[in-house]
Amino acid sequence: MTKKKGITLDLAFFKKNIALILFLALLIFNIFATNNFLSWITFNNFFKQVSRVCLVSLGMSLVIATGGIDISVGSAMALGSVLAALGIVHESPLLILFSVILVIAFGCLAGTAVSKFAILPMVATLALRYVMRGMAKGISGAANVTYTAPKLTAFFTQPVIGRVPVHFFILVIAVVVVYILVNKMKLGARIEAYGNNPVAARNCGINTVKIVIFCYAVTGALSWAAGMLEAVVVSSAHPSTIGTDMEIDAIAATLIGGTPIDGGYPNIIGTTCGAFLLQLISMMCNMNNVSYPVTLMLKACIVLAALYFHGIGKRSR
Amino acid sequence: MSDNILEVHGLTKEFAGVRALDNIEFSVEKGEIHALMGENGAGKSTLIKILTGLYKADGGKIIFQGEERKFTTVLSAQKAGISTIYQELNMIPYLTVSENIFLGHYPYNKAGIDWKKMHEDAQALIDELGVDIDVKKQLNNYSTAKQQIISIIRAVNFNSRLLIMDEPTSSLDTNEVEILFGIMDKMKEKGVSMIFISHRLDEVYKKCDRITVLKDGHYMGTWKTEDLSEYELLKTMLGKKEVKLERTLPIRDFSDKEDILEVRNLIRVPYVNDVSFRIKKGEILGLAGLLGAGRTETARIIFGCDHPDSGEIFVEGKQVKIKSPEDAIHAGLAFCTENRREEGIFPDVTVQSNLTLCSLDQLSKGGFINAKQRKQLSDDYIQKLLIKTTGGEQLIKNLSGGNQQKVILSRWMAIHPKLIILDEPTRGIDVGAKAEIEKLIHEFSDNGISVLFISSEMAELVRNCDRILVLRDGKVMGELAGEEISEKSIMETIVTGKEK
Repeated sequence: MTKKKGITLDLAFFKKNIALILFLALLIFNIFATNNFLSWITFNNFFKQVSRVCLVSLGMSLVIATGGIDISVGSAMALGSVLAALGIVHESPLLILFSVILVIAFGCLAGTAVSKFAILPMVATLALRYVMRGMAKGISGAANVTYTAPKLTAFFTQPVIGRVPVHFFILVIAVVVVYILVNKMKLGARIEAYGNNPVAARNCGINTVKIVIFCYAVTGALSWAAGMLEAVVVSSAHPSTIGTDMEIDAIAATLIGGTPIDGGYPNIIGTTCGAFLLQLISMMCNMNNVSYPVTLMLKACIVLAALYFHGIGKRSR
Repeated sequence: MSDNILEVHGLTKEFAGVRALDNIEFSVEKGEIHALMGENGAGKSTLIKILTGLYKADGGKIIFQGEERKFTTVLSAQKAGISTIYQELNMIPYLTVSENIFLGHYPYNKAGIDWKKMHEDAQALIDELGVDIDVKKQLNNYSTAKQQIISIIRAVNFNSRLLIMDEPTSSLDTNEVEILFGIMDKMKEKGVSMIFISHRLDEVYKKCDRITVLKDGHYMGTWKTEDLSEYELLKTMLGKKEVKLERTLPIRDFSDKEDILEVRNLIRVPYVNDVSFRIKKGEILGLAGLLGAGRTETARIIFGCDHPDSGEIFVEGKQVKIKSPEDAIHAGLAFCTENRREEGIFPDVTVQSNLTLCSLDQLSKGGFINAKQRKQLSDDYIQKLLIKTTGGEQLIKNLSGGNQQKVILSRWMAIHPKLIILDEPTRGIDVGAKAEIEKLIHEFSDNGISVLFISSEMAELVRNCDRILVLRDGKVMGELAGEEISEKSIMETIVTGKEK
């Protein structure tokens, strides 16, 4: 009896923290196996690259926690950054503000469609995926929007205190805020409850429509931020390339992190580690001259391994 | 004897040591409509599932059309000539009516499916019954009643000799029921036998030739409909032999107390047909009736889970518009639903979160939850209600049914409601926990919380209610109070009503 309990407990621990464990394992492996891995340059590159996926994944975790999915995040990044880039070109802060509001509004629209009109999340966000990408191309004439704003560029490319990239701080703040929202706030408790049993949540007087809309809106806002991060590095926003395939990576990071695909507790730390893990694999392969197709397959294996762990509990139920 | 299309002898089925069916005798004559009656857990669905090949019997014989048969799959039962018409239809809404009728039996010509022949044949079948249905239209253009009819036609077209109709009328309105009955008559003329399951006594007495009653997996007997009065039927279905009814509640007078809830002329066709009542402060009002009498439906309307076609709700004398459970909670109501697992608990969430979910507003400031207060509240109730758990951090799905129920009751107690609706609060709970929950009901009342108590166990109602409202087919048949309350009087009221 006690022995059995010990085993299930261990499994539960693995299940909950598999993303963290895999990330740490791979990190340690790299410190020893990869040349020049332990350096500020690596640190810099890592956070510059991981920040976008991670931001979007945080939003995706909330959406998936409600039992939904948002495949319009990449398009939201494109629309937001193209509009904002135009705002910088025309020196119009109002337009930049509008770019945020518009992307959040589209998030609200997705949430409303899903919760109020019972449209499948995949379908609702598929539509918005086309709409927002189309708008981004329409506004920009399907061409790269280039701007010059040396101060802005410098802010995002110059490391703080000589070493740490701004991205690191942005990411830490975002993760902490979302973590607190989920674990310390009323809203988080309601999101978890709604994701676990929507019918019971409604019976408990939870305004389920509001909850769902909120999650999609937050995803919109985070997608905008991720789009901006992608644009400022190159001082331009290209409507067709920004945010492509982002939804896939964000969904993968969320699932590796342990947020159940059919709704439930949004595991924010898990999601963060999931995004880190994916990024670390890419970097590791890159630094060791592993070819891209092999990288992809390696990623697939790790995703499968993580999901296998999450599946164990379900099957035994 | 030879007139029996189906005979069942000594049928037995066990689930994990529990006898769901014990030595069942059952027979259906050719061209007969035979009612199968029983409350929850009586074994009706198990019997049907064995007849249609979904379950395998542990013992006993099934003789169909003179031959002993053992159906191992649904298909084999269907091929032999037994078809089931479920309340949830097993047809394909996006195909045409004729495709649904001929599903799996499409007529072919050299070019493939012979659409023309299929439509013509289907239309002929429909016309024969005199129903207004265009077979070329998609199935989902038609009402549930018409879809039921189409599914009957399909069954008969498969050469079914025995139709099992599992609550076919439960979601139909009066006109639709009439149409369905018309079809059943025509089927009967053709010599098709039917097993009819319904909780509406009127329908059973109007349409059925014989009645078989099951109770707790036992065969109670078969009667010709005219030989069994409604009262006798109810007694056979529900009555417990020699159960001593200790009324734990003294007779109390509420006439000087204020109204907490008043419901006027609540209607939701076809489930609730004009229900009115009022509950005083601290009073325990029971809702009695058979399954499908509209008890749960009434509760769901009051709590805003469903919307009524018409009717008014007053809380403490003031009319309230309740559009959602959120509104109901704001008005001071609480609702412990009958399906604990599906509608009550959050299985993968901790006991503490489950318990405090409704009181988050009072536990938080500026959106932040006070973790200490939250734990305190949860621990208090765990202690007070003797909830057996390893602690607030345990997942609620790992608790027993009774303890889960206590968590849900705590959840509602924590918001201090004016009225709590308890829908089958003791279902699926062991005897010990049952007694504790009954005690809690009294505690609610002592603390001035009114209780609307729904239960299918009459003894439970008799023991615990100040007043009982008896429903039948969504209508109020009468009201019993104080000393009038007994199992007998409840059953009599279901049958004949009571002068108000």
